[in-house]
Amino acid sequence: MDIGAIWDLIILSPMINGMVWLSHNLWGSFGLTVIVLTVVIRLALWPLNRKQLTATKKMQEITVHMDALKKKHGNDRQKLAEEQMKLYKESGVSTTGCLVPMLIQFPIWIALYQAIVRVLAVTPEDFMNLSNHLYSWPVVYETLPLSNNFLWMDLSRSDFVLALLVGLGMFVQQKMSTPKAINQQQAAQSQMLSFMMPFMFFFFSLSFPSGLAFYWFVSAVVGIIMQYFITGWGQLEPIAEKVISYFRGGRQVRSGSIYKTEKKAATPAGQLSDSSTKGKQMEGSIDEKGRDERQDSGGSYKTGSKSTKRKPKRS
Amino acid sequence: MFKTNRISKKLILLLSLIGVLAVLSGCMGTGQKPLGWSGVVVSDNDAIFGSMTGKLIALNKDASTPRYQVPLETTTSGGGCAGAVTTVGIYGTPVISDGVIYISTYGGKIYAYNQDQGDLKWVYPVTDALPAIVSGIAPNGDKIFFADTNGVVYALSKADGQKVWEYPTGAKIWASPVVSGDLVIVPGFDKKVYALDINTGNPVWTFEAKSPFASAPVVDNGTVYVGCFDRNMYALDLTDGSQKWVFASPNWFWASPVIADGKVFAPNLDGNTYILDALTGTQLKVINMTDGVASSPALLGDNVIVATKTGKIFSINIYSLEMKAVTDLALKVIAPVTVSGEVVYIHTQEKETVYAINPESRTIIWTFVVS
Repeated sequence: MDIGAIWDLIILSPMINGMVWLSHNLWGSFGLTVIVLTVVIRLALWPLNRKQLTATKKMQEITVHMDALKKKHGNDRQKLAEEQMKLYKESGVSTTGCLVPMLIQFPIWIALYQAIVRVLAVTPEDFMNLSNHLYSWPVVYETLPLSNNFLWMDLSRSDFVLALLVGLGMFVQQKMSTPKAINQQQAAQSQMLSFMMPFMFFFFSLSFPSGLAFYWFVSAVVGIIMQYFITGWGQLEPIAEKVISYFRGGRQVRSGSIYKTEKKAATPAGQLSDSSTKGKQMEGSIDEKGRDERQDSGGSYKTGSKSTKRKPKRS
Repeated sequence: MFKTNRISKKLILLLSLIGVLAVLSGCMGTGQKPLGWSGVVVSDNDAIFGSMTGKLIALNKDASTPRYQVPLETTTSGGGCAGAVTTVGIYGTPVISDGVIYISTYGGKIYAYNQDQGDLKWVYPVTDALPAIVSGIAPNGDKIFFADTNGVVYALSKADGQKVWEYPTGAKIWASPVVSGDLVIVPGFDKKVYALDINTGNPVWTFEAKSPFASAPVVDNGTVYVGCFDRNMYALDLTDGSQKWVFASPNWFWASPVIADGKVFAPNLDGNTYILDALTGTQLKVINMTDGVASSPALLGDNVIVATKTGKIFSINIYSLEMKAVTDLALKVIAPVTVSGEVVYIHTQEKETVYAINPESRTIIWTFVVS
């Protein structure tokens, strides 16, 4: 049996028949099928995802120590690497832990793509190939082909609005999971990464049927929720707090500093003290100079360092 | 102020980028390319077919030399791709009537070409395009009939391509219509077979099954034979659409059957050809073809010529029901088999080639490779 036949037997055929069966039981809606399928896949990958999220959280927590190590062994690269590995080990952080859930999802994406183009009869050729994968369940033959329409989308074609939502979802998830940068170079790298992934998926979403993009979107939303409960808002903390304070009455205070906004908004209501604390905890990786500058420039390391650069220009 | 400017710049940059991507996305499509599986039509000295490269090609039927090749192009509209010209897939076999070739395209156009020189007579619609067309064309009298993937059945005037009537059904249609008497029979993805009045397009009867229909029906002796995605072959009364019999199989009847000598020769994607009694649907014989059959067979004298998806060509005698192997092309075949005189024409979908084969002598007369 060749690898293609094994792939069909173990992954593709069960996925196709499962999707058709699900769709039959979800009022024939392929969109709802994708949502349920995503949740099922996410639950199945939960042990791995939890590991990944915990690793991310730990990574965020040890950034202070990493910064200290860098200052201490900055000139001795080998010693620095050794100490970093030691720190990783002691903290229980796996540098490859984040990759495994991603790698496991690749076959799922490929199978989902193949299943979508077949069950939605994207082209006649695709639909004809479907017959090789169907189980002899009457329900499967009665349900095919599935309806392409869900909300405003034709799930067999790409959709620009959905592609934007995928990009946005990925961006939020990326921002939440990226550890705080310990220097300017790393800040630039993480900023580039946080834009690159969403743009990549935005492009993919424009190139594939939106059924697959819809899976990415739902998957990102589920991922954001899971991430929030384990690591909090991560690098989105300042934005999240801004939004929260805006909705709680902070909008009348537009000082430019999240801390000023929080204090003024939180004091009367007394509700934001917890989030303020979280925000302050994140300051750990910033040196005193950066901290001082951040007081009037937005509340993150990234913004603080940019202010430092631009200060001479302003004066 | 400084911060606001910076945010505005970022916002403008982001919006510009999104704009550029939106324009680019219009050019990218969804990644699937419909290639088509047009059969060959033979008339006078021409063997004519629609290629997977989107051309109408006329060959000299005796020597395989091309007389003309006409690219059937479509102009995509919108975004940054306005004015871009792309070739189109062709699924329906061209038909020839009164010296005019009629051909449908996945690009949503119907073309009429003069057979003699291959010059365009008319195109429908003149501007824009219909939704993709997988269905072939059925000519009858002064009209031609076809359907699009939005489920609309059309009747056009053969003379100038003007629309005579249209009838919307509930879902996409891939099957080619057939005309019998005053009825246009067309099955669709809404699980129904429609019989429409040839002059008005009004439905005369409908038949509903449990699954969609995609293969073209065959009408013989007052009965409509049509395969369905529920894996059944249905025999319907032509006058009122009532079910005469149904035959259940393990897989889809994608190919249309051949009716000969009171028997139904129905190849199936499960790799068998089922031979049924045309009156009762009783199974007379099952012949194992080793591979599934998607290509509609054709009758040549006393033999039904069947091509499997893997390119094995067989002939089945309609009296003895014995099968003989003709040749093995070892290439993918989905396009319907065409016969003319003593010759069988096969258009392969892999290494796109047209074969002219003599089944009696089991020899390949000529081949034409589409470049």
